[in-house]
Amino acid sequence: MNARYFVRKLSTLVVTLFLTVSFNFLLFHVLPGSPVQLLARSGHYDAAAKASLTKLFGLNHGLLTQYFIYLKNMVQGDLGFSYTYRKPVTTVLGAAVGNTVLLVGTATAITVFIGIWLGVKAASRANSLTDTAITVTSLTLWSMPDFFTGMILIFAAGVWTHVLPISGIETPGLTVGWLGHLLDIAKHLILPALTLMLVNAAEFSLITRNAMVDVMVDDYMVTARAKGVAKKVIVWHHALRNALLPIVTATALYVGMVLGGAIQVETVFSWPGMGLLIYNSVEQRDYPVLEGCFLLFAIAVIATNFISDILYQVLDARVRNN
Amino acid sequence: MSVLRISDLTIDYRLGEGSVRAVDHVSLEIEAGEAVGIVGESGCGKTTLGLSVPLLLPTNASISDGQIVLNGESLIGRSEEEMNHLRWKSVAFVFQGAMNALNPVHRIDKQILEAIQTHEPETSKDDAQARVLELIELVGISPSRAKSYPHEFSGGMRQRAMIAMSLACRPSLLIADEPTTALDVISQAQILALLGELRRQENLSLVMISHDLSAIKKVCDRIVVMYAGVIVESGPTDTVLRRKNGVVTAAHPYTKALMGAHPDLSGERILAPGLVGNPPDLSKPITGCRFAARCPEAMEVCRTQTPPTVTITPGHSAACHLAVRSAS
Repeated sequence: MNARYFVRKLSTLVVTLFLTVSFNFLLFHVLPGSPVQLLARSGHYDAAAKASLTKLFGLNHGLLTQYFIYLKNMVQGDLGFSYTYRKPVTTVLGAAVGNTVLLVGTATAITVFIGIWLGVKAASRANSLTDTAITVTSLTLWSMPDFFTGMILIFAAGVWTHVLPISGIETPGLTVGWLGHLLDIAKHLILPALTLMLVNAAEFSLITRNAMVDVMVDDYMVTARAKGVAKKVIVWHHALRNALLPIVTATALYVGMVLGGAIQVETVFSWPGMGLLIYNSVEQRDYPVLEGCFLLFAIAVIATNFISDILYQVLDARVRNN
Repeated sequence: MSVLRISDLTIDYRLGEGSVRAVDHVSLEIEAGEAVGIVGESGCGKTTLGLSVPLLLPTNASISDGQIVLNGESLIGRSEEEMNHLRWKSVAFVFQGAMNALNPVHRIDKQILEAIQTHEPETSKDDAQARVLELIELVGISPSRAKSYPHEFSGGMRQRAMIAMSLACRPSLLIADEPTTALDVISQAQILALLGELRRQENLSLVMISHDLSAIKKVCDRIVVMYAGVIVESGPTDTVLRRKNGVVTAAHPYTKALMGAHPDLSGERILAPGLVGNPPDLSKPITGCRFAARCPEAMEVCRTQTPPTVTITPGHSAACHLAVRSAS
């Protein structure tokens, strides 16, 4: 591992993070309407009440002062106070983050493996019936919006067959041991995770297939065949290793996409994660919670890109030396 | 016994609706320990001919006729699995290593090791690794560089690594396809010297495919000239490529044109005349001699009748009506 590369990427990460945080702050201050106006919509607030609310939210300071207070609070782990939940944003987020990580993490892990496997299968028999079947199915699934696929699954599982729960993360009022509780959560996880997987595995299989098809015609593939290496080894050892770079890039970009998808999927399945929280907070104009959610999403995307940059180094010596 | 016997080999490429006959009834025999150079311009079928031996043709190519016999065993019709046993062990390749023939993400020693381990699973890893280092030293690379990646090598070193890899399973036949293309002249000379030396030392049979006459002259005993999918002339390198005071012994006008495009350093300073026109369209049947349209010495008969292959002196033959005339 090249230390200079690491430091360079790390400083990029810090700068990106700072810019994102600043943008996040600005975004909510250029949005029309202030929280005070929102609370005063009913018309029962007099000027004095409004003034004290403005002071309570710190909106009486100038924009720059507010920005520095925002930065100071953030460093201290204070992301503000939720208007709707009447709790610190960190507490509200804390309850949701774990659920989203469970959903997105499970879906991503399975997606990447299934997607790569399908893509490799398609590419190693390029233009065959298998290839066409995988490519066409992937394209179809990929072009469907997450919420639409989710609703089809809800219809199939909830209306036709009643085999799987279609809403929430657990059955309310269920009194079973911890194992029963875990199984109950797993059951609730299946449909939303499957929705994310169907859409994204399709994307992965297409990216993998195309990267593989490009690599399969490279000169060194003929060398590998001439060496008498078995086809399986050629495909998985020689071709996939070279095709992994675009796949790693896709994975980094994918994290951003899947978080966006999670908003839709969690809303459709009432999965109490950050996606549902964002949806509800937009409805309630709960800006502090939204700010917190955006910040976490941004951190997740920036961190994944950092990891993929480092992975590049490990995978390809040519990146390592430059 | 001959190491390789190709007889009447015909290879077609499917292209859209039609097909192109890249190799048309070619027969060629390589004796044990012999070095044969195949020369011709781009698209004449020389690379296709080389790749056909271990049955490594692209998927749109098909062998429509002929036989390939390697060490007494007929190859055409064998399964991929059977071929995988023969590849590299019976016939190894030296590709244009300077370009992209080595896998960019694997270390050099690992790539050579893979060849040994694929064909000799019984050899221990330590023994195999020891042989990798021997091979790397044999081609003139310091064993301390064995763990390098291809991009850390110069073009010449990559070509040396490619040669080391080709020798890993002690093949009976080595096919070198444009081994010096894309190298600077000094590396070219070094690689050619190395190939010439190794083939004597290891008693290799060598087929060298090139468009570079001087490269073939340096390494090969015999030269085969291909044009538009057929062999137009073959014979001892010294005889075919002899040029003394402007007099050549090459029989085919195409060979002479190739030599003319390649001025003699020691001879008179002349501007190479080059060869006007393009090779014929191989997707259509050809009547008469394939070279007739570009041939400065073409006669009436050349446009109507396919020239037979005639022996000029023992071992030297050409497919040309002029040779027929002077023989009779």
